[in-house]
Amino acid sequence: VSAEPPEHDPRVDLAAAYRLFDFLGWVEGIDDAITLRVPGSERLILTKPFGVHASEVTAENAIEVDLDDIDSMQRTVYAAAPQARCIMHVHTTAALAVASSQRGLTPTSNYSASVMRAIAYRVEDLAERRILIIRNDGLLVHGPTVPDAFIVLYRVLGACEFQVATNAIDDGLALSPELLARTVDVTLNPAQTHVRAEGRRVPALARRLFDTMSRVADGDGSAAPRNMPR
Amino acid sequence: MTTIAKPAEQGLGAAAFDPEEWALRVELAACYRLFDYLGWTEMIFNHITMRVPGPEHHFLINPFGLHYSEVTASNLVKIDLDGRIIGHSAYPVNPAGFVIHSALHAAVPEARCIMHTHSTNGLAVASSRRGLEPTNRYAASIIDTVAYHDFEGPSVHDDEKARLVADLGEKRILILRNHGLLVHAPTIPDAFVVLLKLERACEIQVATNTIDVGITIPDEVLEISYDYSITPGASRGARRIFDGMIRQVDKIDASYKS
Repeated sequence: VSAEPPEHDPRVDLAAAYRLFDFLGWVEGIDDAITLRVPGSERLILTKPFGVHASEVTAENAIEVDLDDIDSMQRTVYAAAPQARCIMHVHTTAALAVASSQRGLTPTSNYSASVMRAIAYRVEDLAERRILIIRNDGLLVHGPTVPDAFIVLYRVLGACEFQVATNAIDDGLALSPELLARTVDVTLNPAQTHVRAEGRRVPALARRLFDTMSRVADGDGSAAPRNMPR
Repeated sequence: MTTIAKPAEQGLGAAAFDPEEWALRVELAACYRLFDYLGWTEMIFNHITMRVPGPEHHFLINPFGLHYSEVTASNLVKIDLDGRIIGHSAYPVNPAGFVIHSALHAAVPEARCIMHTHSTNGLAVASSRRGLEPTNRYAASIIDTVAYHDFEGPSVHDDEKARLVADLGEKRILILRNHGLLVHAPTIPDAFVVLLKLERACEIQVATNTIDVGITIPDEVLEISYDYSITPGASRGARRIFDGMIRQVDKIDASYKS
């Protein structure tokens, strides 16, 4: 067994995720939700206090609540997917457009191709699938860690935004079932925090992506904000 | 708020590099910042690559794991056609993303600079059945030099490289179906101007097509619309546009020059 991965403070990850959502334009008001199960617990949920804006969340003001006291949609998802440790729920324009369309998500970009097999439209399918498109309402993802949920959410929100723009032109070039079967499902990435690369122990892709984007969102303001699918 | 570290700076500076290479590093790093300024970024993914002077096929590429806003002249990574790092780098590169670039760099001598984006409007046109249509002035100026490559799956295998090269042919723009946009040119400013026109063409087409199919520009008008700036050697205009945009970048943050 190799050395244990370094601990990532769940409070820091939660606060960083909220700040990152704000930077990326994935928040609206105070109704967006990122929650995690407290490590080692099935019932304790870490989240932001009601009324606090995403940009105001810190490791210190995050709160622990019982599963019975969280939003009913999230509670239902934690029940349906016992392996879920983190849930991210958004109402971005593109996600709502796809959720509110008759077509739903179509396999017309390499983004949608990489998440297609993880899409569910019913909560009961979430034991096997990571993404829930809530008809007329929004979209949520779950994952084993905050970075793992984030990378899946980024792929599916990209897919929604690209589809909205594509469908302004026409119904899009659908990828064949053969191509879809050959496209790696991004949600199948193992929830490793570190991998070996070039002889060094480096953060796995999801962690590396999350840390870099958190750093940029939290940075000196030189990065152009809100330049990603929203 | 977080404990996430700032990127390690190599801090090598101009003295550590051949002057010609250093000038290209500064220009390429500026271009990465310009892409961020324009919203042509995709978190830590995608590349702009530029061949360095000399007989070797060596290229500068962004360090994997950094955002475009964090790229500097010093932390750009020099690699060969196989994605192997030349000399020292504090950062790895993303070899998977470099495959399409390396296939075209290897086969097309004038493709010294290659830019690849996943912009929303670019992906919309790339993922539509119609493709790019000559319904606006920007599309008219470049449509002559557009080629298409069908999506073959997420990873590019050796046999696909030949098809990429064949599909590109003599063109400057390759629309990667279901995937994104790619342009090449002999210099960074030349590639930038072609991509700028392409991105604008896609953006306007998406907006036009929310209204209707658009007004097709007739062939005789298209013939006089082809843009001089995409003719090799006519790069003075491109340089002027690029430098003007970089001055906007410099007002925000000129740290890429280090």
